[in-house]
Amino acid sequence: MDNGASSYRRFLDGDESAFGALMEELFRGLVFFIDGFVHDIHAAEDIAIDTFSDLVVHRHRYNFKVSLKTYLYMVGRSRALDYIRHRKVLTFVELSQAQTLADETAALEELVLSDDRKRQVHTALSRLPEEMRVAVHLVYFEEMTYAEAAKVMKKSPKQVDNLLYRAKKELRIILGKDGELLL
Amino acid sequence: MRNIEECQAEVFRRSEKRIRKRRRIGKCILTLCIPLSITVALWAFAAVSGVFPANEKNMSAGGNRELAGGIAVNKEASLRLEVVPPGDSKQTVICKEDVNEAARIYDALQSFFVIVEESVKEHSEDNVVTEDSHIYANCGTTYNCSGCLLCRVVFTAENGAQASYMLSGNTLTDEQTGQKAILTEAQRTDLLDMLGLTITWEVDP
Repeated sequence: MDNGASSYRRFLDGDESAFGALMEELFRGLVFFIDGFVHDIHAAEDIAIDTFSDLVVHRHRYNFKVSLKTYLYMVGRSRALDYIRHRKVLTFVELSQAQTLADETAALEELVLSDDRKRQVHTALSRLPEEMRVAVHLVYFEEMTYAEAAKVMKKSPKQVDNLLYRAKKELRIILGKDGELLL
Repeated sequence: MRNIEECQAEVFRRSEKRIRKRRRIGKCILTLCIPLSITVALWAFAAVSGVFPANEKNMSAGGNRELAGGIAVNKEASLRLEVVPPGDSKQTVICKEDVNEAARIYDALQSFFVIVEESVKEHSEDNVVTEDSHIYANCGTTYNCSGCLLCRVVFTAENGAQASYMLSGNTLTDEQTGQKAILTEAQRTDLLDMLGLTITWEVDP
């Protein structure tokens, strides 16, 4: 598994259908990851579409030195942070609409996290500080290496290691005895 | 939430839009920046080769003139004045670095030839060459150069090009074109004053 790099290479060679395979493989996970920052599933989807659009517009920007997944998550994270920075005014949504959004997020979560255990941990993650949450998300849910997670977060692998250590401690407190088994 | 196919279609739609935008920006750059850079390059080339003045200040002060031989008297031009007394091997050289002074002397020298040209034109129109034309009317006698100081005025431009004039008695000669002008006493005195040759160089007959 090369995290979509071969599909992207085929797309660059002129195979348009390869892009579909690439999106199938990485799109949902990216939306889920971005939603962790923006907490708005539609905005997250929009940002993920823009991130994939980068791959089409700037065809030679990705140099295949890191995995495509890592690259997409790096771009996605930057775009998400930009979105938060530029969203100056807090938007209020109606309760019914908020319920729909929550349902859609849950549906996505189910799609991405098929495992019940993982879903439990993800729910607990919302109570952690953002950096810890992102580190856990990348390493445990996206199965990235520390180095890859560090690249996405623009930190050193050691910092990611520290964040994970502290996150685990926090999660054990939040999840209680079950947490020991989950992590 | 949209399904993957819809999202993929949206990705391509946005990509098309962005690519079109980039092309439009590229065209704008081509249509604006390239002519602009060519203009700047031409201007720079012209400025370097001395077609345009290096700065406006010098130009307004009359510091940039085109000489007959294509020499521009700009801030780098200088006037070299050689005074050669006959019968004396010793040559005196006076250099004038002041551009305004050089320009004034150059204007004066040029004006003598302009008058001659006008005169020749009038003569040809009338098809009669008379001695009492307005140039020659006040000329007086033609000096014999023997025993007179020879004065050579050389303008040297920045690029080393030169324009030189020879004053022998009352005869002023453009050494490049070979054109001659006979100066009146007043003109000659004015010219010598301008050149700073206040010495009594005339030898009494």
